[in-house]
Amino acid sequence: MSYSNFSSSDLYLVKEDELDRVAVERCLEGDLDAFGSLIERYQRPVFNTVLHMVGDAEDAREVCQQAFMKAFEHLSSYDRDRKFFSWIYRVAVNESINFLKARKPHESLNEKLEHPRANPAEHFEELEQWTHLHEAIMKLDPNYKAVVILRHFIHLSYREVADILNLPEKTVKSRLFTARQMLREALEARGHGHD
Amino acid sequence: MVMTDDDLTRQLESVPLIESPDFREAVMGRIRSSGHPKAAVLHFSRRRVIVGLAWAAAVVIALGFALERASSPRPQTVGATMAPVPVEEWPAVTSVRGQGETLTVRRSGDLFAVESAPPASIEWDRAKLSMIEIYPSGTVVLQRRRGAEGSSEIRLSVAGREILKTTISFD
Repeated sequence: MSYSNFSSSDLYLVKEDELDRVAVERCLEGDLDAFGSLIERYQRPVFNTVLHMVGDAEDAREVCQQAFMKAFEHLSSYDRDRKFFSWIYRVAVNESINFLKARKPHESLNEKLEHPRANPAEHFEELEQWTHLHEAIMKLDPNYKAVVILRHFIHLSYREVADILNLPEKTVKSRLFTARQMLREALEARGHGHD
Repeated sequence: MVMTDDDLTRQLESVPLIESPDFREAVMGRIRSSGHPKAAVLHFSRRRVIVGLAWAAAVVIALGFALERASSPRPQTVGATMAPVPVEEWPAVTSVRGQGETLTVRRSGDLFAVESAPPASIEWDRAKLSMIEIYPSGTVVLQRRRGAEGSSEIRLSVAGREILKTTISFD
């Protein structure tokens, strides 16, 4: 990649953060479509986060809508010095935790999340592995589940996860370590791993 | 059976993001039907009142002029009113596609609207073009600087990696 004809001082960069900032400002000035663009930008990662938190696509759809509604209602209290994506993830994770608290325990594992790419006929082993992994994740405490999802499924940095969950980075790392240990134990008990 | 941390991490990291249902219309519908738009902009009401009063004053002045003109007959002239053309209707001067990304530049005189789908970081030569507007959709409107000649590159990047670039001509 060559930038030979641009000197660094001549470069101007519009980052996603800036697009978010403009959209939030427009929205607060009454431009509803601006909030629509924020939904469009974040619905996929937010949906994936919520889906793994609650473990059911229909519930995830409802929780996501609720999270975006809540974000809209509280947009004026959003601290614009922080990244919008951290804030919307936090709203979504909190909504998921509230949903899980309100949900009766027997409902949690009845409907399993399907592996998004596994074809049962061709990838039986992969499907089985995924099902066990999903079941193990669903059994984690929501606070542990959230760090696993944000770090490993959404691929955020420790700092970003810490910012979203309002935790010190050290706590994120230790929770992640404990969560992975619990997941390993659960999967080993189901026969996964090496002899 | 023993599972290493690396084995587990590999398994976790191999779970891809899946497509999300489109919430935009559903959420926007709920917001509109619940009357929330007013709540969201409540703290701007004073500003809106001021803007409203300014408009009212402008209308009164305009009406005054109109009445004065009507009372003293003058030769009639017919002038066409020009409404600004929306950015998305400006003619496209270039459009390049990558693996799922598109970079389109539209032009209206000395203004260039740069659209990227999906929205990504846009870079340009600040010595030749100045930014005058960013739309919530991510479209950036650039204005050719006085004296800028020839052409200029526009680049699109994601996570610091250039994915597309194009050149626009000032001719």
